[in-house]
Amino acid sequence: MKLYSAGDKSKAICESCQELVETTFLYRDVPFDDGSGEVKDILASVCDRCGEVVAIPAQSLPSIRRAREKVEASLEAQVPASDIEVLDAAATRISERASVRHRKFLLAFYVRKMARDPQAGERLKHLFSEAKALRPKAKVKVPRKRLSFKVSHDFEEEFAQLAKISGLKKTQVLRGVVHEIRSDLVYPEHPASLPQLREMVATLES
Amino acid sequence: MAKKIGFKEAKRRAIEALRNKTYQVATRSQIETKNLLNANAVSEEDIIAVISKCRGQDHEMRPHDMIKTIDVHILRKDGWYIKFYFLDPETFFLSVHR
Repeated sequence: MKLYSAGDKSKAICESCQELVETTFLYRDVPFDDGSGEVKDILASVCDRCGEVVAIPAQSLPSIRRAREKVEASLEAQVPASDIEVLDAAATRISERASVRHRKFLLAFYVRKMARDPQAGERLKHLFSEAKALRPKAKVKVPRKRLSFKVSHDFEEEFAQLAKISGLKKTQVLRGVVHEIRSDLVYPEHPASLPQLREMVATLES
Repeated sequence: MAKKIGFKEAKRRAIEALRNKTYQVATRSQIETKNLLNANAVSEEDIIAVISKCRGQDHEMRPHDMIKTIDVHILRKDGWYIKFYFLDPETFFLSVHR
């Protein structure tokens, strides 16, 4: 493995200068192109002419990957075990190879759908109260289980926005969304969303 | 003037650069988040496995948009899109997408 040091010379194509240029390896703060932050002090190949970062050597990629991990957020909640059963039942409807990752796919799909609904706040409040009312008839204890996902910051923001407009806590929003999945995808014999979801999953898995 | 190389040599050098971690990722002052080399989703070994499977029919070569004397190699295999060029002795990856 070749390791470059600060001050080493190289060459690269500079998109700003539109030319093949001489470069120098220097430490720079380099931003992500999706506006999610930057990686501080990584060794980068810098155009000698315009000062732009034109390339990043392999030795700097572990720092970028670590920084990228930090820009992923965790979404965690303790929910009744029955909510997880709903998610898993929905997952088996959309894929023959249903697995834990389909839970996240379903939540993402319904959160996105809800985020586009101007009445989402009221709808979520209603869904959550319906979910709460679905207590077992007999006095039996339903254990709570932990749901945990790694999500993008965009998703986290959409989710936080749903909590804000509904006045619910994040766990309550999650339970509302799960209840929507139950009503939309698990209970109906021929769910309207099913063909679209199956097609999306099949595309992702192809 | 870059020396012209064909598919077999391009494949060999790309794999060697990935294996020895002697490559660079071409950027435009920002880190391209869609380039999988910048993400945690795949490793160099995964990309080597894809390139190893490539045959001549999966390879395309075209002049770089800006510097026409530099050949850009494009590999398409199993939904992967891998684009790179060489500036002796360096290997630059422009895209590793899926």
